[in-house]
Amino acid sequence: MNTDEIEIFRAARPEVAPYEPGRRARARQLLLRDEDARRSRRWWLSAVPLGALAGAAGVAGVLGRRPDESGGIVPVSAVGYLEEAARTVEARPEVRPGPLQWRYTKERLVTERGRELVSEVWMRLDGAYAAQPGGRDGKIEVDEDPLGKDEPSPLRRYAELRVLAADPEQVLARAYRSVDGVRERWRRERDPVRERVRAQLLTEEHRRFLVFCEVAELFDAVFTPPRLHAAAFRAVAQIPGVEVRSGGRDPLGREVVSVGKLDQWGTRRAYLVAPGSYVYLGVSAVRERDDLMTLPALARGQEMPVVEQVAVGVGSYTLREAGGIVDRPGERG
Amino acid sequence: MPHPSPLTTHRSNPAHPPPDDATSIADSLTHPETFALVFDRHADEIHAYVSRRLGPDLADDIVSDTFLTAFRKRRTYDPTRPDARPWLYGIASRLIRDHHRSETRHNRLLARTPAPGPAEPFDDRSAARVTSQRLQPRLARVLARLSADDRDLLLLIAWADLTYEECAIALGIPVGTVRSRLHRVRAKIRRAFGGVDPTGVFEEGTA
Repeated sequence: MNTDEIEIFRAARPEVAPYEPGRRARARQLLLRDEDARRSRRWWLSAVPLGALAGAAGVAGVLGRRPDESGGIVPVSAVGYLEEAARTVEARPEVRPGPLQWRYTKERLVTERGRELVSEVWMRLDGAYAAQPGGRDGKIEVDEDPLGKDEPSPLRRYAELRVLAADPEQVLARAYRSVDGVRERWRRERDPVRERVRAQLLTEEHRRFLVFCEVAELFDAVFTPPRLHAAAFRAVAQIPGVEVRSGGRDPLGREVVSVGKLDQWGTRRAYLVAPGSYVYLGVSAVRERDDLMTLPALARGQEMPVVEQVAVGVGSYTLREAGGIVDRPGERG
Repeated sequence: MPHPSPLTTHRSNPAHPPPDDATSIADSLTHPETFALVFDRHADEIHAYVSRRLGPDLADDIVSDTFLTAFRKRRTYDPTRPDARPWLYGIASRLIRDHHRSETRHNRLLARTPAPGPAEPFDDRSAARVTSQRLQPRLARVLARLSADDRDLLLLIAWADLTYEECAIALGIPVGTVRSRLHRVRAKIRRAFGGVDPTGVFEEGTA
């Protein structure tokens, strides 16, 4: 072939970096562990069948029991469990949603007093529309422009997550930076309620607790790429005081593993995952101890922004009943 | 006792040359891990190609998807073709099309990049390369304007070094169609450069 148009393009071939060995090894490993790879772009997270809805009064404290009262709830090695979780989720293929698909979530909030609220929402990934069941017949109603001014669309959030470094150390460092930014605002602000608890808000223990929450939010894998999801499990394992308990059930009767940390006031915040699949099932906040730091008394009418004082064994739950990416509002998988 | 994996056999017995792709793919029907040999042979090359087209960020995912797709479709592989490269490039090209918008953005970004000045000495050996570097933003503009079919063909030849026959396999079209389409692509490129030879050193019509 003479030097011609094709040669010009060939000579202009961009220089590229070689295949990074770690990523190459992961791709090869993924190829050999293809059991999870047959999912389509339209995917579903509700891997765990829903149990019968148990009465809230009877189950609200199940995860909140102390280990010695647990009746089957057992602490397990946090590091070992989280590493296994990381290996499992990082072997999953990343499924990239399209902008005109919808994110669907159905969540049930169970309050400390046993009240239940159900939220079922479809959000188009470009953020242009949201939908929810409305009226007596549950017909799906679609709203335009549901996002606030500075609120990112699901797709933008996904794009942001995709470019984050999927390395546990960097995930932790990022969480610490984020938490420290908030703490700096607390340090400066002159809110009279926070003034009363300022010293408690600024302890190192509370800082670690907030970092734990920040990282564990990534367990919700509707939009967390697998590599970042795995890094989140590994990062959480490095936070002192994180405890994993298996064998419990949530208020929906589902078997769950809870990855949690006690805050300095005695409330354990835990992220619930399905045993084996590590699918995110919700979050709980249950008071476990009343012998730790106490909160100063509040003036009448003041609302404590940090934690509500409730009896030991009582807590609240936000339970993910179903979630995934669907093609149109009203689809439930 | 189960049969030993062909992968194990070849690793443990270096006296035996590694099998060709067709053999590895056929073996992988009973020993799936054998497909790793196909990955080992071609992953770097496919990765470089995808990196050139979409940039490095997306290349990891596309390459991973390419081999997963190939693995799932391995039963349909034509066993008379010892070299799986055209097949793999075809799969990668289809996946790249899913990212067409990213690629177009990538090309438009390149198109906005100012052309570097003629800093290198211009001799016969480097003529095409230097000219190409100077013209790169224009080439990127041309690429962005080509249809997906034309772009796949042009880049499989220019960046993946596939022959016309291999392109035909990759794209699932007859060799004659490859030739005629390439002729059309050349004409489009010339038109995009205002009807003159883009190298500036060859007469129109020498291609």
